[in-house]
Amino acid sequence: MSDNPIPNETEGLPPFIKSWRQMYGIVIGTLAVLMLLFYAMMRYFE
Amino acid sequence: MSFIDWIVLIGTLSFIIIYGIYRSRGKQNIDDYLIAGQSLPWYHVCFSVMATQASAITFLSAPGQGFADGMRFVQFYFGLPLAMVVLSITFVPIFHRLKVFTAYEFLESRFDSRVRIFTVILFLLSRGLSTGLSIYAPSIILATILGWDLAWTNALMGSLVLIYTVTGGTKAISHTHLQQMLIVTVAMFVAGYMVVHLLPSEVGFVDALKIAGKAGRLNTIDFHFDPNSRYNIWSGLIGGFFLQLSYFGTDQSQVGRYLTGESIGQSRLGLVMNGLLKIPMQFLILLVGVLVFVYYQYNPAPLFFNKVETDKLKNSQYASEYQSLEEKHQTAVSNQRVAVEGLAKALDTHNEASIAQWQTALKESDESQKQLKKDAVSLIKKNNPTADTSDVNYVFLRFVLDRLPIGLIGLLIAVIFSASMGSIAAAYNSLASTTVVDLYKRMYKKDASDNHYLTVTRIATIGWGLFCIVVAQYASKLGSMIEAVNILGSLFYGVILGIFLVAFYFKNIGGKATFWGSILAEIGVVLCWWYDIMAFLWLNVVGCLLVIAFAWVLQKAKISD
Repeated sequence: MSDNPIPNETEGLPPFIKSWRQMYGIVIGTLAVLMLLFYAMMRYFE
Repeated sequence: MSFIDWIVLIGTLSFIIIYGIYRSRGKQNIDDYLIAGQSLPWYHVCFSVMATQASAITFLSAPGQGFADGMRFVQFYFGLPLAMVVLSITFVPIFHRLKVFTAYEFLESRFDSRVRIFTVILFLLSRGLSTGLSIYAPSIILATILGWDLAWTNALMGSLVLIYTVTGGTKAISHTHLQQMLIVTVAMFVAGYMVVHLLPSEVGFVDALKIAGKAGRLNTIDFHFDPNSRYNIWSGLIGGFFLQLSYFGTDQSQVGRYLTGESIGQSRLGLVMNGLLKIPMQFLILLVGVLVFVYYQYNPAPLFFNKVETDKLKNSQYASEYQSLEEKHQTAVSNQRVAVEGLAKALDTHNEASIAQWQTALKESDESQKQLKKDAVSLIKKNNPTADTSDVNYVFLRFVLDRLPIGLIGLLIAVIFSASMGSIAAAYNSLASTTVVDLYKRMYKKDASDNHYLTVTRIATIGWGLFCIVVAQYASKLGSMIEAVNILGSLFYGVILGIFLVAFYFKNIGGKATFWGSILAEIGVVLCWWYDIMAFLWLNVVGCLLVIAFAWVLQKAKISD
């Protein structure tokens, strides 16, 4: 349990990611890519 | 089930239970018991929230949905990654910094005890009843298909988790969640591989996708906006966002999982990784169902997958009518086999005219089989008004039992139990912790010892376990009420989320305005549902927005605290 009242803003991030803003960008970007892939797959096979 | 399947089933479940008890051994205080001493790394948080959300019915019903309705259900989860981002930015830091055990403690420090107790009652009501149904839903399917006694299956499903939930608390739950997700993932990949393996030798994975696509089963994205359509990209992104934000942000069964993170960063990472993994996982589960659909294009599918009900029908006064439907079904199946082989050949030769011709034939055969199934359901209902006619829940399990090899059957039944145990354990734990922290400690015994609260929480866990098992036992008698209880979550989640959003983002709105605003909003949501104005996902959006609007207006009208 962390007793530090001021959290380190980069704590918990994977080593190749510099900020939480970047991490959230990756999550939203992945969602967009997944939707595009699903759409492309649907159109390709329909 | 064979002897080996029983060994695999009992061995897998015993391993999970023993592992849970082993990992949580040693002396525990109330911190350890409720939030694992906030000591767990991100991957525990991630798999724990995933295992809590994925109930047994996910692995029974979702492949069936893929089989019957295609991939469009995946859109339901599009709002989830967005919700994970909002949670990580807003909810996680606040809950961690306030060092709360439950989400509802925060409401009293922000508003007053009235708002806290009102929200706690909404949560206990909806979670207690829905956990009973989480026990009943897979039990009725397993009992029906395997010929087990329903009451004992309910009791077994609901009580197995009590063994490690009562003794080990949250730590045991989180450790077993990791194992459960591992078993579930491996088993679903093996099941997917086996379906492709069982297809005719000339049909590979890509050929199967082509056939599924031509049969309209790869309908992953629907841009058409219709508030009454349950699954399209807009209901998934907007309605799904509000539902997931509400579920993960305000339902203690989930809040209790990410409060176990050893720091704000570990809890955040667990949640955003859930945002990355959930949609692909759900996509793969649905895809298994779509592959089962392709399998049944080459092999005769039963008219109705719940064999127990069709056997009853064959011995009833409706036997001849059912026989006639069976004969029509056989003809449709023969036509379907001709159509799918014709389509496969046309796809190989890239003959567009022929592809269109066989695609139409396949869709016609599909439609005629759907109509025959509807007719069979009507007969089943006439013969047995209380029969379970939701055939999609039986598709995957019937396929597993009829077509998969010995050993794998036991493993997949173990998956259903594991998934069920994962979500039920988290629910028991959250119900007990909310009862003790928000009601018992708040209203009856404020300054007791750590040991006292630990004992009371253990007793509350057993109490809620028994309550949920009793709800499961009576669920079959609820009849059409089951559907009403299923949407119970959407009736309350939006309002609860609205209360939390007012707390976070509208600092000038006080407790009295929020309390009366949320009561008015709840009435509004119930009216929307009662008059069937919109699909249930939108109730979450309406509930949330109404709380904010009413609370804001009441505050402006100078309702004093």
